[in-house]
Amino acid sequence: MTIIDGTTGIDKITDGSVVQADLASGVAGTGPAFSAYPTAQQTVTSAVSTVVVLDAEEFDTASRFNNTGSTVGGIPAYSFMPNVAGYYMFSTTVSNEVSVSSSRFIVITQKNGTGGDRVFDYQNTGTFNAPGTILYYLNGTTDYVTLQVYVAATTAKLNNQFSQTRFQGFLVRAA
Amino acid sequence: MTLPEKIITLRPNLNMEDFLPTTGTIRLQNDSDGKGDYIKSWNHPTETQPTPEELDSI
Repeated sequence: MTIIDGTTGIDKITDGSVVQADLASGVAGTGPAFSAYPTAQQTVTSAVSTVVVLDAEEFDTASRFNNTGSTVGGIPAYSFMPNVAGYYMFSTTVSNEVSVSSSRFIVITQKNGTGGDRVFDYQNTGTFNAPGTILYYLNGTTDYVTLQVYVAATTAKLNNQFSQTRFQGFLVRAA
Repeated sequence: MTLPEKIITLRPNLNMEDFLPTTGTIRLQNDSDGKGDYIKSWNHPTETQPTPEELDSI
C-alpha cells in the first residue's frame, strides 16, 4: 500500500493503490445481497408470464429488495434494485405444483421489465423444484431484476416453502 | 375466461407457442401488483392486437 504525506499528520491512501495483499485474511466485500421467498402458495394464469410473489426476506443487507406488491422507493414490486454498480449473480429455485397436467414450466429472470432470460425450461407433468442461475450487470441506480414464471397448465400453482421457492442475489464484482 | 383464452377465441390462428416468454411474439404478463394480467407486448407479424372493447365483449 502506498502512503503519501505521511509526515504532515494527514495520511492519505493513493487512489487505486490498495491491492488484495493489503487485506487481512477473511476480509470480503460488503456489496448488497438478498434472499427472498414467498409465504403463501401462488396461483398463476396459464400462459401469462407472472412475477413471483416474494413477500418475505431471509436477509436483505442493503434494503434493496422490495418484498411488497407496490413500487417502493422506485423499486417495482418483488424486485431487486441494488445501489452499487457491478456484476450480480442470481440464484433461483421455483417449485411447481400442478394438480392437473402441465405442458410447460419456464422460470424467467427479467431485467428492467422487458425481455427476459429463461433460467429453467421444462416440458413435463408433475411437481418439481426448478433451479436457475444468471449473471447481470446492474448500474446501481435504476437497473432492477424480477423473477417470473410461465406455466401452461389447467391449474398452475407455485409452492411457497422456503426450501422450495427462493430468489437470491449478491454482488460478485463492482463496476 | 382468462386473458390468453380470450385472445385465442378472438384470434383463433394463434396458439400457446405465441405466448412463450422470450421466443413468442406476444407477451402476456402479470406484475403481481394487483393490476392483473395484461398484454405487455404484441409483435405478431399477421394477427392484430385485440382492442380492450373486443376483450371486454367476451
